[in-house]
Amino acid sequence: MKLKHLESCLSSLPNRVFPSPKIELEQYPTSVHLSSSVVLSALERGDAGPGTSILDLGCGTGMLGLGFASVQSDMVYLVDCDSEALELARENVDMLVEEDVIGRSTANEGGAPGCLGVELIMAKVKHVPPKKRNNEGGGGRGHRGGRGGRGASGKKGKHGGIFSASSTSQDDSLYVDPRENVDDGIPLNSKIVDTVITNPPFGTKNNEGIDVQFLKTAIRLARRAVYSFHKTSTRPFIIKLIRERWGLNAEVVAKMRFEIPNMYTFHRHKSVDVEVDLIRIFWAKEEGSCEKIDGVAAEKDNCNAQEHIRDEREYEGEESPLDLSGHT
Amino acid sequence: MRLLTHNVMRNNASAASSTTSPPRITAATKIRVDEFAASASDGGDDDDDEAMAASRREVEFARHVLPILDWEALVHAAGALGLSSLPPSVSKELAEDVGFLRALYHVLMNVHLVDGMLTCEVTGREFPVTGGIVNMMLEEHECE
Repeated sequence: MKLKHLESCLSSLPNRVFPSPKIELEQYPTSVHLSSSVVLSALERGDAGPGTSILDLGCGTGMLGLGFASVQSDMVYLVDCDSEALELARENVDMLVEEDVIGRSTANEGGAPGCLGVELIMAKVKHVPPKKRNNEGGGGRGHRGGRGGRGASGKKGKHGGIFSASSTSQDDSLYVDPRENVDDGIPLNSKIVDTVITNPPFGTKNNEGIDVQFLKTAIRLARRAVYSFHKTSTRPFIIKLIRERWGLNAEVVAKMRFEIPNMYTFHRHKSVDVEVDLIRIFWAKEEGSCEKIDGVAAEKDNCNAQEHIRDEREYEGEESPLDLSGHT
Repeated sequence: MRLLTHNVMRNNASAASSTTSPPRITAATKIRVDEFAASASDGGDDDDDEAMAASRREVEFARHVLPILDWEALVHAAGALGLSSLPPSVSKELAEDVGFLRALYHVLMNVHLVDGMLTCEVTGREFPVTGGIVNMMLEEHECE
């Protein structure tokens, strides 16, 4: 399915924005263009389409998950903690059922049946923010202090809570294998879908690390791949967490700018531009463990680095570069 | 909430670790069953092709999801919603039977608990279902 077709399908959804966004839940729209691009990236990697099941964690109005439905993924779960958002999503689902994009024994113009079903679920990812620290590192935590000191830039505490990744070293749960069955607030079995897509809250001073919590939960629920958005400033930390702590593969699929409404009353501007990475986490052997970060590809014999790993500067997709605004 | 969704639920709290089953359906005040797919439509060849393709998709879906199901829990849940036609267990032969798989697809995907209640039999944690949406947010201490 071409980008334009998918965009036009998603543009017909009645609820593409939040009428009364809840700032504490970081509710802001994911644009039609962004959602379509993500879905097509997943489709070309076999993570979407007929034969796959999808879960959108923190779905909001459902734009991302319904994009996956629109390319005939079998089953899509839309999960959010806000009943009002789920009602917006439900209306979007109803529209797609009307248009025969979702539903039993329907066919789109290509002759293939559409998405078999979309399920709405109300659930909330649990997150207990770590206690605030007075200074960097801690005496008795050499092993974790070492992790914090190695490698990553941009993790100084000076930006306070905006950099969710920077001060979570006290949180034991970061080191637990995300695929264990834990009470993360989502009482679903592990590995119930092929692909999880999530645009997590990035966290503020009061709930640092929530993006990592979403990521862990997403990894637990997925059999094959996770697509998650994280601030570019946290990329070294996140990539390292995924690869070294959890032993999984990670690739930066695209880099983009989100226009995020401000969350602090003292901000002068209505919104702030944030650089965001779309990261794909995967663990299937047949994908090849291609590792690429910051433009340098690792050497693997069967690595299709040129085909599906994009550097943000030189992406030349068929439809459009994935360097785009995430805001409508 | 479809029966498939019910079947993949687990109360992951450590207090519930003695069970690996989904919470039981303890109330079902409103149920909706979508139409069972006919194997072929009354229309011309094109319609038949599309209907066949749709049917194939559904059979494949049922085939792929069967291994991850908690079969006993599914039988119990279907019974709670008034469907008693599922066999108590699934033999290898049955698992390949297209008729069985189509019926399984129907039970999993077309039967919706619209209003009702799920209850964890170990901890008493409740999951109300309202307007087809299951609420997984209530903590144990918030339940009766």
